[in-house]
Amino acid sequence: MSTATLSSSDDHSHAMHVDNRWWITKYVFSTDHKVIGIQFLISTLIMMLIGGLLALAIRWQLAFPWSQMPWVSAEVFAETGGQISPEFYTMLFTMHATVMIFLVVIPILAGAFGNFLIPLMIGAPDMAFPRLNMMSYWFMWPAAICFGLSFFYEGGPAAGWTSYPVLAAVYEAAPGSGFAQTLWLLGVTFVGFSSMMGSINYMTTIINMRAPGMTLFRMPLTVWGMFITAVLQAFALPVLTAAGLMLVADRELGTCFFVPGGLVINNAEPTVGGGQPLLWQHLFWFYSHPAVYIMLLPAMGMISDMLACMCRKPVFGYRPMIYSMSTIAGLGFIVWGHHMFISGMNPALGMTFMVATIMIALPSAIKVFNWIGTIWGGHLQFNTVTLNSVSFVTMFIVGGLSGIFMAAVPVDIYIHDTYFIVAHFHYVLFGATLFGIFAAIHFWFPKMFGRMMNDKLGQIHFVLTFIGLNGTFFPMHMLGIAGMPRRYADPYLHEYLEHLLPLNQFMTYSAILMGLAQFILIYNFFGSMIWGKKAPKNPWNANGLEWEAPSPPPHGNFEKTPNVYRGPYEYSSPDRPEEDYWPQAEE
Amino acid sequence: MIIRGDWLYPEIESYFYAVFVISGKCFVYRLMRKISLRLAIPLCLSLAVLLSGCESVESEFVYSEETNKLFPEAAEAVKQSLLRAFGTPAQPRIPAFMPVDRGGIPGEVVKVSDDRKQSQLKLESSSNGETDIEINPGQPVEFLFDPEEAFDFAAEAIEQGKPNPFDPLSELRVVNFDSETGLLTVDKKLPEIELIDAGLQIAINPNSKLEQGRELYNQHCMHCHGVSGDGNGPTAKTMTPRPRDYRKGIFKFTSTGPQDKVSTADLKHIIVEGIPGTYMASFKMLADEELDLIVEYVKYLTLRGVAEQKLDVEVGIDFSQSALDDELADIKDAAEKQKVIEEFRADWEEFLKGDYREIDQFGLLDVADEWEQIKGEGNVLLPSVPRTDPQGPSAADPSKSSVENGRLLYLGKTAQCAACHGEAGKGDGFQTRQIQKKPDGSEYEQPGLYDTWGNPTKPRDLTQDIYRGGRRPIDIYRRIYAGIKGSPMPVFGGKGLTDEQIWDIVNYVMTIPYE
Amino acid sequence: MKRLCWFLFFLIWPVLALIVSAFTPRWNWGFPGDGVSDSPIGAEIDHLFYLILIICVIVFIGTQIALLYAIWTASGRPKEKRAWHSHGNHKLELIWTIIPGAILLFIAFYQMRVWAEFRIDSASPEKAQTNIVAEVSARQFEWRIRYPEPGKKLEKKPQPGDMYSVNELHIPAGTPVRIYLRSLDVQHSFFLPTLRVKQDAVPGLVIPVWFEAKKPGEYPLVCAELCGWGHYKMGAKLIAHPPEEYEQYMKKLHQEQYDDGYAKKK
Repeated sequence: MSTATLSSSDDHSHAMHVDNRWWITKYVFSTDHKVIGIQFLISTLIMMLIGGLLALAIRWQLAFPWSQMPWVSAEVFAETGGQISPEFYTMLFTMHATVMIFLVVIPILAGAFGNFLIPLMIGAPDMAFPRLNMMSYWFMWPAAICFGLSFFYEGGPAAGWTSYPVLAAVYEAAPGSGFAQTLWLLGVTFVGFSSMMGSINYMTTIINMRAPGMTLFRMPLTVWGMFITAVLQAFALPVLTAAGLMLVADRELGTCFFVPGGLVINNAEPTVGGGQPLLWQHLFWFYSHPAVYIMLLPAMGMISDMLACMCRKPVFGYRPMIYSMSTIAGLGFIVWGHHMFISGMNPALGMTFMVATIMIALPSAIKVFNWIGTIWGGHLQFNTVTLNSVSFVTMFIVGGLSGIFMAAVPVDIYIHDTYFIVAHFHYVLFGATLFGIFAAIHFWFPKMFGRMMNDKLGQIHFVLTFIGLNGTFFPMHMLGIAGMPRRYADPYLHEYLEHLLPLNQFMTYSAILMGLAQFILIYNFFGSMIWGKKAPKNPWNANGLEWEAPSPPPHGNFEKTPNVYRGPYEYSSPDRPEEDYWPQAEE
Repeated sequence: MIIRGDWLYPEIESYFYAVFVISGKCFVYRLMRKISLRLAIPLCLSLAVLLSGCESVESEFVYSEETNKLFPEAAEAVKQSLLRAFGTPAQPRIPAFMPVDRGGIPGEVVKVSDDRKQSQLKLESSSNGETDIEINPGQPVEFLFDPEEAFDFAAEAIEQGKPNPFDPLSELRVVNFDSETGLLTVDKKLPEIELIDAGLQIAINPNSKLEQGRELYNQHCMHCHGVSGDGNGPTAKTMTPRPRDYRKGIFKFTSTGPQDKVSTADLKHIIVEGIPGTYMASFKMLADEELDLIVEYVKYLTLRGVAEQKLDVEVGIDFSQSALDDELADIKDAAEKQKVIEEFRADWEEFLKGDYREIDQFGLLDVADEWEQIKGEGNVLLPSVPRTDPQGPSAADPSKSSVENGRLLYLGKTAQCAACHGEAGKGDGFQTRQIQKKPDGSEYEQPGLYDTWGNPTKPRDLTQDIYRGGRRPIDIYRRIYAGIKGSPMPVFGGKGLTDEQIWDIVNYVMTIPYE
Repeated sequence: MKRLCWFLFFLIWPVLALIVSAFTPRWNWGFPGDGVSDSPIGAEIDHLFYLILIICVIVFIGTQIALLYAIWTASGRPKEKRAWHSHGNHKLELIWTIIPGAILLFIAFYQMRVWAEFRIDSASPEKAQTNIVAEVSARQFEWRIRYPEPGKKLEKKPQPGDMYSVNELHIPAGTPVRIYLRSLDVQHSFFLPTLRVKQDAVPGLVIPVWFEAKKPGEYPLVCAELCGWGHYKMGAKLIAHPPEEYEQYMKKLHQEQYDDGYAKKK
């Protein structure tokens, strides 16, 4: 099959300028990796707005518990005077996590940027399996529909994004654990299919379709990040998909993989049993811990590329960067147990998982040092891309360091499932990854749409987001240390948490600021498509192969297959005195 | 670019323009010039969207099914009566004679003096030595007339064709209070009512505890028990058993006798201890005062429901929709129909002017009388003999041990426990497979037992070691003696079984989980 | 100017973060209560927390200074001077692999004793294994507790003389005690914030947990694992009595539990 597809994509490159496809195959059911990438990008940006609104709703409840929630109150909770119900809150944070993880961060990194950049960066005319690629995008929509529909069944899925059984496995366990939970699990399965198709495609493309001269160690770190991510996904995802289907079977077919016997829930008949809830946790985290790196490694790669270009300087320690990414991926498979330190699994395992987890901080540290080394002695220019990239590094430092607290088992006894962990993963996922994404949007936008984004608006967006982000997430460390557990609709019910209300209100104000700031990005993104300055072929004077293609690249990408002569980071090379960059494809 | 389009009204345009020109050197103006229209439009749009979410809604009490079954105008009158007596969730109130601790600051009128717009009352309360009482401007003031005197006074006025003389008092508020002199200024001139005189009791901010209770109730209870206490909150939809509907005034697990009302102590006990085996959790984390406030609010919702029921019954005899429908059933002619309806309406008008006013007033007084025992501990049910030692001889039949005799009684014909709870106590007696009858005589579609609210219910599985009403011997004694109100569990005490026999059954039941 | 602004921007936030963190205990946003743990093992956990905190703060300051310095110099580099063309430095890479690696390994191995003390029988105090006070069963949404009859041992299965309470766990103070943790429906987590103790209650498992309250008093007990809509409502109290009072309380509880109401009649 692969050969057939390969030859067909060769045909594409010959027919590059005779592009008279029907508009549906051109823009909707397109097999062109760039169109699919942009489809992914725009879909995920819309999803990001939805996820962000859900987050604001959560913050509203925490700052002004049980008071009227704007929008929601008048429609959904008219009879209670605008006061939300606790299961609605449960649904809010479940869906916030779901949308952000499964429909924003994973697809925007792998789906949008992976799709758009991989073939361009390795000098390929398209992906190895263009139709599979199209399927990968269109499988995201059933997932989105499943998630969306689950809102409307019995209060939505209410078992958290981790959907631990028995809560998620037994219909009676929660008002929102009815059919909505099944839909939710199906949604996750569809996302799994989508990612799986993507990852197979990326691996094949990167291994098979590199341009002549593009050896593995001449590939940009973005491609390396995507490659390692694809490998991670390919090995971890089947476990989640299988586990998800097992849970669906538990719910719908009466199997009891995860449900022990004799539990009486909501006065239903006692459960039949024979299962073990811990099994789900092992299976779930076997995927979901690597998923954390799926949500980070591509951003790490892109940041390396952008920092190098913006500092006019080679990446410091190109190979150590690759090795550390690989180490993160490798170790990522044997650290899932750190989510389960207090779950009641064998305590001896806690020790081994702790050592592995703490050691995973090492490659991350190496990467941070290398990024600092990359900036060191460069020619730094302050534009939106640089600002977002630099703040990626500083936020990642915070997120990385706070991870050590949780990796240390005894400390984790206390801070497990408190707001400390919420602070930690938001610093990594929002602070690091999302800033990486913002930087990447600004950096590759000219290649995608042939126009530049407005830099001033970008900077305003950056400043507001940065302030809002730290105002929202930094105090979460304190909430965690004060012992405020996650997923509480009303923490102030407990006397020892009452004094945290003002802090939570401050966080909510910050979050609202951050939320409003995203309108600037939306405006800038869509406005620049129409009104943006026309972009030249290589606006950043960058080295990568993608800048050889016209902006935006036509169907088939390159006029002729480029030849690669050197690595991607030959900036300010003394061997080329006339320019401070040296494109990979230039002799 | 400055925002300057085709305004509908040129003068407004010129006005705006003038403001802009005047502020020409100020920052806003410069900003306006800088901000291009294409940024301003999405900005304004998103602002509009943001503001559109700030619509506010207020909760309302829902009325019972019986009220809605009344002749529409009768239903409206009942609703108005309830509104007058009990207010809304935002402004809860209850007549002072009801057995609810509704809060408020008491006082006694010493002297009344008027000026043109306001009245001044000299109060006694400040001399009581309570220094921490706070009377703030804006708080409502209520006169505690004797209900019957007030009724007569109002009736007299209305018969003479005057408006109700008490109407101006309904919105009376504090303007000022001088705690030194005890002078209370109210915001309106008091009407000429001879009842307002020295010695009259008044209450300032009379429903303060209900308001506090409402806050707590909304936070902790409302999402299951509903705004009106109908057990129909948003969370309740999938619960088994359903949360309690207070409005019938029936509470299952009480410490009082078979015919007695629930007591305040019982309500608090349930909130503190929860009901094992249901979603009613224990609320021990709340402070004692908070629990008291919640209990008072629950009592308020209960009495409101009971009063509604009372009115429905009194009015519903003649003026239900079904009564009208019965009259109309045989009439075919449209004009005649209309005539019957008109007559019906005229009857209602007459009733509304005459009897209804009495029902409205004295019905509430009746409710207050009937529910007097809700206060405090209530009418506590206690056994006449101490519990028999389970392994020792039975007091009822000394030839057997207590547990043995209890077992025989459990299986026997007098008590017939096994008919519902099953021979092994698993709650699977034959009655759970029979078709049962509804209170109105018709039959339920599905076999099994139902409670007063029409929800399916199961006899307790006694092997589970879960006792919803509490697991002390006295708790189980009370369940058998007084039955479980609102459920098919009947009353055994006083007629069917002696106290000695009940203790034998208690002793047997308590051994079932360990068999 | 622009360069200075951005430099200050990236400078201010770590400084602010450090200041806010430093004032956290004073503003009472830190550990609950007065910031001192109420149990011996909690004190050890706090010690480990602060140790990691100190290491992290040092690393944080170091990396932020390095980053800021890099930003400052790199943004001010004269136009005519080209960027430093370097692909990396093998020695540096080795240094910043080995040193953090050693620190991380130290952190990892330094933690093990406390974990073993908390979770592994052979390393925990002897009394923690023998002094079994209650069985705590979590359910939606409360804690149901079963104590043995005074003078008897807690059996795995309920016994006729057992005593029950809800949302109140009574223990003797000043001595390690052990409870058996169960769940009657979904997963919960037994969390004593001021004692720094947490353990999930997993349906189908009975998990022993030990802890010790140093002083008599009331401590919050909450649920830390999502268990449904009422997750936040699972607030309970841990009540530590002085040992002699504890005996008395248990006797009183037994009396109340087997009350037949006749005494009140008289």
